Amino acid sequence: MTRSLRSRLIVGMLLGMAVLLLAADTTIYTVQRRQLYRAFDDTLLSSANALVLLVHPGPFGYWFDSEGLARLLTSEIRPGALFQFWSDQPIDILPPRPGPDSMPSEPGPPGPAWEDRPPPEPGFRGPEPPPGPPPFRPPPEDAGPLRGRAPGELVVRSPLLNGRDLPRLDTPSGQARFEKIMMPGGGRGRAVGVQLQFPARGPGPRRLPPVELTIVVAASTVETEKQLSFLGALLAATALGTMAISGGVSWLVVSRGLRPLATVARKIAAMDETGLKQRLLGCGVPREIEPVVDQLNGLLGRLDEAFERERALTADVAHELRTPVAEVRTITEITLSRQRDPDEYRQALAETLDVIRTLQGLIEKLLVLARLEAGQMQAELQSVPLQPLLAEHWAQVRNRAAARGVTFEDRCPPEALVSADPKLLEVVLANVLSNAATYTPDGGRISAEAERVRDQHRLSIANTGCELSEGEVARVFDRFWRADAARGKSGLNCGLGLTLVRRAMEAMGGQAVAGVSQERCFVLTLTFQAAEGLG
Amino acid sequence: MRVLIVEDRERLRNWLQKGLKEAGFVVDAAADGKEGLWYALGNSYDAIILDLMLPGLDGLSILRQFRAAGREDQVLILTAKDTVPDRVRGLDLGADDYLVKPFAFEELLARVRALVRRGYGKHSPVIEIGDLRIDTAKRQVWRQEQEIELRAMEYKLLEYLARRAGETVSRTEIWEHLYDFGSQTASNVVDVYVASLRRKLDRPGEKSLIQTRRGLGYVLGASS
Repeated sequence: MTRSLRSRLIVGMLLGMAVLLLAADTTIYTVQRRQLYRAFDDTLLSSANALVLLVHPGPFGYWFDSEGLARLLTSEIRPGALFQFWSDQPIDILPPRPGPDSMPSEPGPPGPAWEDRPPPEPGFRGPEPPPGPPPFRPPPEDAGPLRGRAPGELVVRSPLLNGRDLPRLDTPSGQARFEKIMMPGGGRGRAVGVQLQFPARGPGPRRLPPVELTIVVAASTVETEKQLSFLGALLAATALGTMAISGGVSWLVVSRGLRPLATVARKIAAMDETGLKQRLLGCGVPREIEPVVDQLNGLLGRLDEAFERERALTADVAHELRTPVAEVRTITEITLSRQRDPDEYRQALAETLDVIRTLQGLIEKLLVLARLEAGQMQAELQSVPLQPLLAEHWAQVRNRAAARGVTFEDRCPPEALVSADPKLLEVVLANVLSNAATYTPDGGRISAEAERVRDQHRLSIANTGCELSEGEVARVFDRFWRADAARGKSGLNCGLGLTLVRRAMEAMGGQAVAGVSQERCFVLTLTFQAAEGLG
Repeated sequence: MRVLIVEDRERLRNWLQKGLKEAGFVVDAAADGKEGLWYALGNSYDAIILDLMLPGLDGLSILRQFRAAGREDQVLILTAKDTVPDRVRGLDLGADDYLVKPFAFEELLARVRALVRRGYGKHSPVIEIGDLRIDTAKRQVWRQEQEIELRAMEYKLLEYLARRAGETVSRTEIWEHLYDFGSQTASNVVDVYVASLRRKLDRPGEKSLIQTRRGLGYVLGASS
């Protein structure tokens, strides 16, 4: 099957249509054919019924009314029909009119239509026989076959037969039998056979013996077949024409219907990563394509956000790297611009060193973060006691905190063993404690507690004096996000610390969550897997 | 010439202030956006050095509000944002110059000097009034081809009067361009410096270069 939607739609539609047309045309053809043949058979049967009435009982046996036949040939017999009579008893073929006494007084044999037919009306004369076929002349009294006595003897046959025979169709008495036959003159035809029992009549020696009569009427079906083949051809031609036209129309309709897809495709093709702000407009798009367009728009939105984040990150990284470099350069250039005291040089070098430390810390954080995010850093988990590490890292920032009157309350139980990568855990604790030491206001308090919840250890580090709103707390893990108040403070904080903490915790199978307590404390909760499970 | 620095990085701000002062500028410094806008609107500066990423109020908002207030002071954006859209946005909002961090301090100085010149409608770094010649880049003064040694304050006063040559300049204006925001100086200090300048520049028997307009101020190179 072709992959073109248009071809599939059209082929599918045409197939369906073909099946439908075939069914409809077959039905029409079959019904028409049956009706034609039924009408055909009806005329054959009524011709046979009419012929039956030509046989009358007479004083010397049954006789055949040849005059009546001549009349029937122009009226009740189907034009062009051939017929033939057989009888098992000799039957007279007489031109004279039968007398009223010769009417059959007994009901005919049981059978269909011809049962109650009245005999031909006395005195009725049909029109003169047409000049075409030779008028029926009763054969002489002793004419051979017509007076014969052998059973199944031929009585009379249609003049059109010209001496040829129709097949004799035997059938139970009183029933009609229809057959397809080959016409004696060639060509296909249909025939009906009717068999009748005429009862014995009269008393004593003048008693008429019973007679069994067989009548076959046949007619050529060539005309009917012609009509049927014309009908068939007409139906086929109509069907083919309909298919062709609907194929063309549906090609146009489907092409027109698929045009919005092409439009969408063009719009998508025209997009690159710089054009992600555009959306595929939904207007004019059919309902069927709307979900696709909606999904695409959603995808574009997400891509745009991702690109935007990357762009913002690049800008942030650039900003955060350039600013310290600008500081070093400015300090150095201004210092060198003139002769200075050794103290001034010393001061400038000390400040330069400070800036370089900031820069180094930033670069290291960026590298660790990049490795964590690229999946290049696998956490090597082992059982680590939490409390000693906490104390060790606090010692590194203790002086800085103490200078501002910030105290630390370590309520971490010494037995807490967590599953962690020692290097990553160091990164986490160093950043968390350094952050706390930096952002806790003068005279504030930092506290650490750990609790065991099922198979996890939760380490909460809280510091007083949090001025962040709920929305701001949600952003503390964003790269380079910093609360306003934090900007301008010196130190290693550059808006990457908490991002790094979260990534490192995730790499160790734990998590980091930030919140604000009711006492306006900033609480960072680190969840570790308990180490016992590691054995 | 008086300059305002709006920069949130304390170290950079301090060093810029130090460097610009050593280069002969009078410098005010603001650490955040709101403070910066307050300084900019409250004083007249020959140049404003503006960072973009600032707490409180970002640099572009400051610029927008500053220009909306009808202020025409020269503004140089000094930022780590280096993309073309950033530069275009800054310049279109009314900045006169844009310099990306990290930068050469010499270049910053040269750009600030150029801004100051432009602020007074001049392009040449050399101002000539009669036989008085001032090279504002080298901060040197000649009269009749003879170099005159001036103290820093005297030079600042002369350059300011020379930039506004022919105009009457009030004592307040002079004071504002000679002293930064934190200065606590007696109000007659301007008169003292004018007197010492006259002593160094004027020749005996000639009319003084700096004329006093009683009750209004001083004028250098008056046509009359």
